[in-house]
Amino acid sequence: MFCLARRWNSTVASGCTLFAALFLVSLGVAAYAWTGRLACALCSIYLLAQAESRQCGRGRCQWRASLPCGFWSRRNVVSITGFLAIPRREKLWYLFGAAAGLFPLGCLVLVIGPRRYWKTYSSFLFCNPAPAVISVRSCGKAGSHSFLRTSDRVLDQPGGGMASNTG
Amino acid sequence: MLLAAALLGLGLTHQAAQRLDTTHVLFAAVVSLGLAPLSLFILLPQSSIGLAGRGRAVYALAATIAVVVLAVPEVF
Repeated sequence: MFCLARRWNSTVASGCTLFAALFLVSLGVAAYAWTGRLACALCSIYLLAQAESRQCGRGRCQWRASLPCGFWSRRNVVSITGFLAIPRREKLWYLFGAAAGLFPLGCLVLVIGPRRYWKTYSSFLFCNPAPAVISVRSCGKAGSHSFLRTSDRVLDQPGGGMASNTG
Repeated sequence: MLLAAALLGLGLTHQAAQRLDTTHVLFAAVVSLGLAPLSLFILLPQSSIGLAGRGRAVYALAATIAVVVLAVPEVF
């Protein structure tokens, strides 16, 4: 976050970083996965901005920037934003980076088998199997939050499927 | 770049809508609220408050913290 905001002003960048850190510390919950995902997403945006200013060579930052997206469960948000931001002829590099970022997921599917992966993935898709998560995705509340459920399915997969497999 | 970060924050809001407790809402708001001082800094015209550079940054930070303290005092 500091790197993102430093472009405008160092003081406000420091303030933004401390402000965000204060939130995370004050919560007292060690959600390292969530924090890591946010860091990956922000890192991706920062690398894209570097690519925009041509600090690291033509096309090379795009695939590096899209790598963090591959590890982020809600990668679609960053991926689509970044994909739209880059020039058309450099989109191939971005796709290459996204494919490299998704490589661990491909390895996981190969290790556990496509059938088992799809079984867990589909159960997560149609009915959240995690009892600890209180969510509108739960099957009993179908209909009342259909929009949220649909958007969640679009945004949450396949990262959620991977998480439920590894967890 | 700020637009991309803002869209990221917007994309996280559905997470907060799913799990409406303070912890999850704040987790989802980390990006949005973290970048709020920067947004305010950019929106504030330099001439309107007679401050430049660091003064404008401090003003933006103080305003954001004041709003959050007033709105969600349990965070601090």
